[in-house]
Amino acid sequence: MVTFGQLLLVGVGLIGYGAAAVAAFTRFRQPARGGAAVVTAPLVAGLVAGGGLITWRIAAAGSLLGVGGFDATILIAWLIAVEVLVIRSAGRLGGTDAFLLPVAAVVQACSLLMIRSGASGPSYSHQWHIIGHAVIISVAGACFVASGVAGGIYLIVHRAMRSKHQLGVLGRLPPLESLEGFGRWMVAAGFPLLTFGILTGVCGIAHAPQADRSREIMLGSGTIVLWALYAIAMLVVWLRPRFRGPRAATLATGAAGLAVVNFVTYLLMRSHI
Amino acid sequence: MRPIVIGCNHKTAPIELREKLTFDQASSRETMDRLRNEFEGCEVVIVSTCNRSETYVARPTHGRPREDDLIAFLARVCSIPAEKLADRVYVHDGRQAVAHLFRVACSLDSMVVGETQIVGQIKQALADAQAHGTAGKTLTTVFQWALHVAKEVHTETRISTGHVSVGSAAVAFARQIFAHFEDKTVLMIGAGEMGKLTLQHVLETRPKRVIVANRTLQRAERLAQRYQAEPVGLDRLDDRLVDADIVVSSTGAGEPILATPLVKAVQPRRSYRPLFIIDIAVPRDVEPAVGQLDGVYLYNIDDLQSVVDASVDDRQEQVAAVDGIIARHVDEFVQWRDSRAVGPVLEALRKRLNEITAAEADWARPKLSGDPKRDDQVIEQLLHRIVGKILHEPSQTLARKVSDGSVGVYTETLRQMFDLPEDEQG
Repeated sequence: MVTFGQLLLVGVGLIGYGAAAVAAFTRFRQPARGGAAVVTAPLVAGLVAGGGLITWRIAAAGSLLGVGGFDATILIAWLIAVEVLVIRSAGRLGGTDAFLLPVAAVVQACSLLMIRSGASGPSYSHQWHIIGHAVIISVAGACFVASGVAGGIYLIVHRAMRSKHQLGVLGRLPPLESLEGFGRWMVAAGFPLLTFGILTGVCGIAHAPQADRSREIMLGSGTIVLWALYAIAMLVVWLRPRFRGPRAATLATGAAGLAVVNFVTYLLMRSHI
Repeated sequence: MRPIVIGCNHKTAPIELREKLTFDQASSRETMDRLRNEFEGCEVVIVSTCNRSETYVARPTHGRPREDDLIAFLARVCSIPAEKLADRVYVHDGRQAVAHLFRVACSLDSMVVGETQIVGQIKQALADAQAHGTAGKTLTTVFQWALHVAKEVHTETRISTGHVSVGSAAVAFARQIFAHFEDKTVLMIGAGEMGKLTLQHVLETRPKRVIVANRTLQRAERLAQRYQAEPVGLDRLDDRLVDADIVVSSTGAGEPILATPLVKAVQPRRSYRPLFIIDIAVPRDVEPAVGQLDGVYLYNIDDLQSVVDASVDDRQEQVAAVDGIIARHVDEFVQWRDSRAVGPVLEALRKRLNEITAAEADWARPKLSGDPKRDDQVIEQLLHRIVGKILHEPSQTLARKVSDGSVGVYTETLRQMFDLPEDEQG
């Protein structure tokens, strides 16, 4: 059950992330337009609304996962927004926020679709391993989205560099070195979380009613494929130094794409948890 | 107050003359004082940079200094014959002076169109004049308006984007590859002039280590001393490449120094770290196929020059847009200035009319007797006297203007101001 007040917070969050995304993109195109506050202020407003909503949901339901996908989307959007805030304070990844914030806004908007469709999953409010699974998978997902966005930007900059033309607006994107490092760290953080999330998910399936298992196993297999892809990628990068730069960026973007497909499938099935 | 500017720049005067017209802070203050002493009530701001020397003055609308006064003054101050100076300076008055300052602030008049240094120089010139008390309300407003226009131009157009030299273009590409340079090594191969210029730009990034490699070690040592670098010979170049992150190559060799097999063999030893190679040499020092290797970004002189050319072309394309913004702001400024001039004129007119009516009322008051018929006559006389007094001065002015041929402007203005019908003139 989503109350009107909670819906209002979702709206505030969506407007906050959306406004920050528009401001970030405008500043990316024309840096002289407005100060950094035009991005930070709506972003912080969105984060406060998202944080408030998550706290409210936990307080009201005793857990974060009363309505299945709704909470997960809110959490992922909030985590991506947190990443943006961290990136903005880091300084060297300027311009990345213009690409990550729209993702946060879209994910936040997805939560509204979940309400409209009356999506409601089974309540797991007292199964802490399932709650842990969802939270950990959400954090891992946010990390993979960030690595995918960084990989995508890396490929854009790399292509521009190889074309040897004037970089123009692309010159405001972060340097390749920063993008590569950021993407690598995001995958390094996301992969163990994904592993742990899968383990807790397996425990969850074991405790789930018989009727729900088939769909969850189907979704779980998608997650296993994603895990295998990241495992291979990490192994290859570790063993073969040549597998870096554009190759690693392509893989990170592709894997993040698969993570998004998994997430969308999850939203469509609505009853993963 | 009416703005007027006298000055010269890199387009109008040779460096020998510009040197004589250059002012440092002390001489600028002295000159501003002298000008104000000579022409009382005027405002002065001097903008003096390596490419221009301009004296902005605001004088009473019909007062001095005028063009000839300013040329004579500058000729005296800078000890240059006035005739020689007159040929090399430009003077803009009123609206043209405002437009000129706006163009200067927007760097349309600069040697490198789109450079932003001039904004700081204008700001500094205004601050100096304000601190010295020679910038009054008029020049302060014009200068602040100019700074506002410059900000808008740099925000709304691409006039200041892009690179103006091969070196700056190379550094921009390097910054797009590397996030920080304090752990990077720069390898300079050869000692070509263009290479040295590019290296100077690259050194602005403050790399951790600089290696200078040359065929003759002695020359490498000389160059290394200049850049606080390590001198090495061209042998064992592969070992140097392992350490290098940025390579600037400008030898006079007829054959490529960096062949594809060499770089390909080195890359695994470098763990495929990005390698940025700037090949300034003609003929080229680096085989083109090197640019296709993993992690290698190769730019030759043509690549960098094309970026510079595109940047310059792009800036030139923006000039029309900047001109549009300037023209709009000049119109707005002139309108604002004119609107400010109306208030005091109306106030003075009202004061004059009040004086006339008060004096005539004093004339009429003793003549009032309480007899309505007689008082009516007094009032009628009073009104005639007031109208006569009000029209006296304008009538005399019109009479004077008949003789100098400008009466038409005044009569037309009067007709418009008092909404007089056309046929009344006849």
